[in-house]
Amino acid sequence: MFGDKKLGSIPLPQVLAGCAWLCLAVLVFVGLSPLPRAEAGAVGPRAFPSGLAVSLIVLSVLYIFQSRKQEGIKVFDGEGRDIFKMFLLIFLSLSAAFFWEELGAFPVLLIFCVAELRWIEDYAWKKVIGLSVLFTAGVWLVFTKALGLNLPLGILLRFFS
Amino acid sequence: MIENLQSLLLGFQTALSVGNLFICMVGIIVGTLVGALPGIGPTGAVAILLPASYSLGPAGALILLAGIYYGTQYGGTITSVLMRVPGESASVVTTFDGYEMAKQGRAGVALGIAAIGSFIGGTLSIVGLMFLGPVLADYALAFGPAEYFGLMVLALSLITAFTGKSMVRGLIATIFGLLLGTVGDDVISGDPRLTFGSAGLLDGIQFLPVAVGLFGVSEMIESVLQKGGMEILRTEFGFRKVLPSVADFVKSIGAILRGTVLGFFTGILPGAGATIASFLSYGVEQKVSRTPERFGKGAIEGVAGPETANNASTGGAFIPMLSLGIPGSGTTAVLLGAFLMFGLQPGPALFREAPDVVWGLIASMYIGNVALLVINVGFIPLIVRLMDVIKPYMRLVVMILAIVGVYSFRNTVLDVVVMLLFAVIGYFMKKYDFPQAPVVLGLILGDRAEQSLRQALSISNNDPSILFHTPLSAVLLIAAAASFLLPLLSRAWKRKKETTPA
Repeated sequence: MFGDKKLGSIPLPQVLAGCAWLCLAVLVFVGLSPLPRAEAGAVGPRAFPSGLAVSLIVLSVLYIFQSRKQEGIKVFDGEGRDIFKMFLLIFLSLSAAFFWEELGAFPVLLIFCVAELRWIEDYAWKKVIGLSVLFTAGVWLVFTKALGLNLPLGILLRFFS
Repeated sequence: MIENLQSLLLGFQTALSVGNLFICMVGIIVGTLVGALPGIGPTGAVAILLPASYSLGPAGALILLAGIYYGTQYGGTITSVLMRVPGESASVVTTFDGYEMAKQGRAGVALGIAAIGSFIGGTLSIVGLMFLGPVLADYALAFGPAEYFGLMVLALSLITAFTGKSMVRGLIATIFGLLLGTVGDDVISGDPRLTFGSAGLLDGIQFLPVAVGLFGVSEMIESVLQKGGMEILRTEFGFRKVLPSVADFVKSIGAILRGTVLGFFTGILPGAGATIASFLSYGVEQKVSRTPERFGKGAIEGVAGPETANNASTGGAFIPMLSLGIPGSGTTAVLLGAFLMFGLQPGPALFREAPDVVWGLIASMYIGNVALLVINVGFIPLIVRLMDVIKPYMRLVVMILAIVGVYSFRNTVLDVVVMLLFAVIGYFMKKYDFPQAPVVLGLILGDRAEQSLRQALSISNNDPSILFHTPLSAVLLIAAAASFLLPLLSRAWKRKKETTPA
């Protein structure tokens, strides 16, 4: 994506990366603005992050400048189907986090395993179901029983209460 | 010296308890498998298993995590020799001669000499850690805020200079990490900083989700795009096939001893670590050899030296972490985080405040190295078989461990979201060739570096010359500046030489 495009002599992906760092530096200044100014003769809570943000601005500009005449970076270097799978993995993980407490850890893990094994690893349904149950049971055994960690039960609470 | 030996005995009492012995075995076996399987390095593995280890208590958790750390250095050899695919970066150099030996039917000997060298290097480096660590800790007790600030600047500058190919990208990654460390309540005034009104950020950005995201999950995301299976070179691994002959051992012993010294001291240096140690050792072996033309064609010294060096570096890497509280790599940064998780502050006082944990950890490393020698000489076929079984489900296992582990760290979904955010950031950083280790190091050292700087400045009424007031702090800051300037000057010198006509 954008790998071949250039802004002047600078490849667009590198420009975008440099701009992302610049945005972070700006965000730091915005985040520091509500802080009170330091008393005279003292180093306040703004000084250290401000110094870092200024350095980040200088380095980001230097990074963009150094990228002149370089090849553009291919951020998603793969076949369309694999790129889709990569986004699916991120989406599945985010969904797991989103429903973790509502649905409960074990139902979420079961669904996560099914989706990952079926649509990312491309296994047959029979194997997917067997492995998903096995992995979920393994997590319950290791984390809840052996290590004594409390994972949210979510909807399972209705069955156990 | 007597005091150290007595402490070591106390450590063996801790490490030899049935529970800790079992934990140590689990750690080294997991480490060996992680090292052998390409995709997830030691830092990712230690980070992913860190939350799960919480219930084991400080000694158990650190024995497990350290076992994974040095176990990976052993395991990395297997795929390097059998597949020409290094399991982790410190084993890249082993592919040069290890795979060639395997093609000549000497895979067993390559793995055997690597295991023996790793054992010698690993064990001698623990002896070094045992004697040098407490001495350095005693010396560091006298450090003031200026010295500590100098030390942290040096650690950050060295890791910036050594990791990655570009100084600018390394510095950006370091500053990013330092900025992450400033999020949350200000350590001195208590004002909330860069929280943007989020109550969840008042405690700061936790290092664990960041480390798991950057090192573990980002690798899994990237692995979806990587094609191609691993072809294991099938060969005989009987005990006799793995044991090197006397001639092989005589040829390798010099390389093993040189690798031990080189690896140990490279490990102490922040930022250098196992990968640089192994490459340095390979270079040295080539230089001292009477027949350098054999290198790359199956020279046994080309396997023995680097494999010894990368294991010896782990013992060295523990010295600045335990004695000064300064981690020198991504993995030791995560291990330092493990100490902090249990309320233990690595640094000069640690050897006195938690002797059972520190000496238990050191004693477990002796036991672990012996066990790893046995596993890597006697059970190679079993490890190869286990690799075959685990590999197809590696991505799922890592993702599950990451989500469950990071959630159970503080029982908050926010940490899982932060982990996923940093997994995406880690993916982009890798694509753009920004090093990831300085981010975690910056995050861990950021608030301490700021605190030391502000304390030093408040002592001197804001006079920055206090940073150069004692010879030690001046030397540390000059060394930090030199680590940036020397590579730049050497590059400029080279360019000038190239452009000047002869």
